[in-house]
Amino acid sequence: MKLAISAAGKDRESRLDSRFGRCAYFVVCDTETGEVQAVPNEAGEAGGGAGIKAAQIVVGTGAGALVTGNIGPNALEVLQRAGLKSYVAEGGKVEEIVEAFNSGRLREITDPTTGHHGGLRGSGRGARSR
Amino acid sequence: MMVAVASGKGGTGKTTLSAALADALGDEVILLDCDVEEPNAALLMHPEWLDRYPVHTPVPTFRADDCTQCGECVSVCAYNALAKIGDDILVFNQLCHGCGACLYFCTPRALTEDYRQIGSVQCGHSGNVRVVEGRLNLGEVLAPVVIKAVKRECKDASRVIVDSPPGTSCPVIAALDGVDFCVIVAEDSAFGLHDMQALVEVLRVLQIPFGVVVNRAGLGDDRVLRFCEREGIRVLESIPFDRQIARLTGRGYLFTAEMPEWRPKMRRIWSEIEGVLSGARNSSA
Repeated sequence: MKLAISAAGKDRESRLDSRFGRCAYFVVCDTETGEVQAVPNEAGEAGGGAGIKAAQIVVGTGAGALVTGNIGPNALEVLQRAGLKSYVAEGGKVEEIVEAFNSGRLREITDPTTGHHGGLRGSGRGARSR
Repeated sequence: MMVAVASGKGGTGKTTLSAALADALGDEVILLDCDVEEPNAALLMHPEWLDRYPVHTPVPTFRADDCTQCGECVSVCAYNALAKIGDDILVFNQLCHGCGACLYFCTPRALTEDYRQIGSVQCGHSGNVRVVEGRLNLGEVLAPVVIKAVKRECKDASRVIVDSPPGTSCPVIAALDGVDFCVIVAEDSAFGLHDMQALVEVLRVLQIPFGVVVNRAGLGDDRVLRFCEREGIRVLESIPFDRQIARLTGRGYLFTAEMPEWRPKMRRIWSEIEGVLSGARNSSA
């Protein structure tokens, strides 16, 4: 199965980016062959709805599951509708996360870990509408 | 003449000044509370409400039977309010800005237009002052839609006061749209000056003439006045940091009604703005 991981870089050594919608890359690993492919997250620059767009990118990679740090309700809905399971990791490198996933040590995300506009937290009132 | 009262920073006294101006001018005045995320002019004006109606925004609804799976609606949506998952199109209403692009590009018409309520407009009067208030529903984000609805209420009024939201983002731009002049209510503090400077930049881009009313003057170190002098910005009035004004306003009274010596000062601000605008018209003619 292919596993998508929200990451700060493009390879096995890259660290987890805990933000789902605005991570730099999705590193997609084949959990059987160990093959790795990076897909840039074009949703990262979106003014709004980054999570929804990012979720479609992940679906488009053909991944069967996702590992990230935080994910909001909209993105989670898209992934669930597409039949993808999501898992949470606290941090670490891509290769460590794949290992943790394979050994069943990652917890599945069934509820959003953050509210709407999670990635915009702290940007104040002006950020609410654009 | 339509005058916006704006600030950059929140809590500087926009509503206090808007209500004071409306109270002092009295007749043929309409006060538009465009701070639709937290409208509060009514707390000072105590209007008798006569009418209330909903504000809607268009949203697409999806009919799977007519969809050809082209995905065009998803790719044209600038707000990522649509997602295509397999044969299904998901619509995220909260993110939709109602631009209509998805409907326009959906040639098989699998998307059709529906409406949902996001806020309301209330109209009433307080003495001779007409008061219009916009109110955005909890959890909604499209403040500009409600602000535009409020502003449609002022067609025939000769003196319009727009109580603007704080900040410099979309709601403020919507509140400033079409105004003849903007009064910046500035608080004499570091934050007050910083946020006022951001608004000054906006007003210069929009080419809206403006002047400053310093509120809580004496609170700080005159940095707002020094900035205005340096930039050649007109200072229309200074309202002191005064316990009586604070006490009256905090209890929901118009300070101009209880301290009537302020009414002529408010009327003078209005005439000065009229003077500035007629001067500008004459010089450009």
